[in-house]
Amino acid sequence: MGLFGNNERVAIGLGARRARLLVGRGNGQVKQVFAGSRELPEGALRVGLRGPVINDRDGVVGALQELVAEARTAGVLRRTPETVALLVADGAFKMAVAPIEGAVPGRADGNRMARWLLRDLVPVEESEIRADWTVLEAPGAEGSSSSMLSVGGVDAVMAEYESLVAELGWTVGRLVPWSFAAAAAAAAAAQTLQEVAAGSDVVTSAANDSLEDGRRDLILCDADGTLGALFQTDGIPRLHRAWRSPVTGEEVAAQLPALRRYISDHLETTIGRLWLCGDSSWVSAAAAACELSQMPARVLSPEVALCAAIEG
Amino acid sequence: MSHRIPVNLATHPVERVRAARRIMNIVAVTLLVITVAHVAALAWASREPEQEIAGVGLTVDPEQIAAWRVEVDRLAAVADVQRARAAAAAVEVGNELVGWRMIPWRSIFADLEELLPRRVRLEVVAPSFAAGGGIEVQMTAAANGTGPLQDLMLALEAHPAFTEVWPQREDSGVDEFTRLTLRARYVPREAGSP
Repeated sequence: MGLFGNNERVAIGLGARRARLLVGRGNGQVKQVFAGSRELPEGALRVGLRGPVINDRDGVVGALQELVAEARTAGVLRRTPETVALLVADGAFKMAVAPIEGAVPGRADGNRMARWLLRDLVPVEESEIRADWTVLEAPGAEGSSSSMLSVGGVDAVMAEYESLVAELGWTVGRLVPWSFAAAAAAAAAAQTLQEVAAGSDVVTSAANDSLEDGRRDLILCDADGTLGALFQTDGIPRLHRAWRSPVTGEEVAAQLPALRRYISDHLETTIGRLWLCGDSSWVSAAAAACELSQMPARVLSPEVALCAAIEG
Repeated sequence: MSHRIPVNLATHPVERVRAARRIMNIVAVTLLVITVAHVAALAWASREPEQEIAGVGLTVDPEQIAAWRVEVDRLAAVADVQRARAAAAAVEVGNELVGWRMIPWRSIFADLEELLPRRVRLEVVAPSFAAGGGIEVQMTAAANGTGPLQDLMLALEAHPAFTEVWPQREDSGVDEFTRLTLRARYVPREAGSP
């Protein structure tokens, strides 16, 4: 924001069981100044593609208001934040990737193409889909290739989530799936690891391995009751899945072989690094299960993902 | 560096809000700059320009000119008062002389002798009683060039005994002299002295 503006940024994470609030300060890299979470009443929020998803509005809004009051008691959020990012469980989104050749489409054409790519994945009319898209370039052996990434959900469901934030008097400035925020946090963490390794002769080989593996990241993200999975190569998302029913940490290992097989068969690659993002109890159980499956995982806290969502 | 995947499903994406805010800031700054420039131009245009004395190339500060104007006005006011007093005195003395039917020759010649420039020669001095009262002196002065004659005019105007001076005629004769005929209203300094 400008000279006289507020540089506080807020990220709200919503899952089926818990609401989270993080307040950060800064214009480039955000520094966390407050983080808190509240349990949601049983069944207050239902994660899914179709609406309605809010069964107990007062319960969800009440939890968010308590978090805001707690933040204000801590001396932050005295004014309207500059940015409000809302992270929603992956079960509310679908993703499609298609290679494109030639010029990048214009805004209107791109919107049409994005909806068209999602038409078989989102169970509503094309006009009822809210989608956003971007064109990503990946370096390859035969030059770089461009892919169009389209992410979307049902417009009415997105509006329901936004209305919860509106009850706080704020406007949502960024609405993304939990796993996308976790992927950003993972990329930032990987870069930090490489920079640290680059400064030390002892871990140079580890850094190189990390660099190579880092091009094939699988992020498993527990959004407080639902699990999201995002696999990306060279920073381009290739696979997105969501389990709407709760997947416990122990059950994660059971899902891994299926994901590995799919990635191997359909994407003709392998998983380089595995990232786990979620509550400490879930992450501990999931990491232990992955270790048993010969798949060591790196860990990200939900706060890191929330922070990544409000950066930039 | 942000590693965020650049998709955003918000109704009012922060990127667009920031872009709009940036445009608003640019517009606001531009308007501010234009306004300041206009105010500066207006202030510059409304400032009284320095005045240049034609042909000399000398520039004089407007404040100095204003001060001079005040001084000139003050002097003019004083001169008007003096002139009014002299006119009143002339009427008074003239009336007295008219009453006596006497021409104050001695006084006239004494004053003329006092003010006459060096290279000017008086050829004719003809005092008479004016129609409206007082004494008018018609005189013809000769000089080698117009400069001394102008000095005579200035000397008459500056002398307190001659209240009004009117040049009548200027002739360049067959000789080397220039002649100036003029009339002046005369007020003897010592009323009553013949």
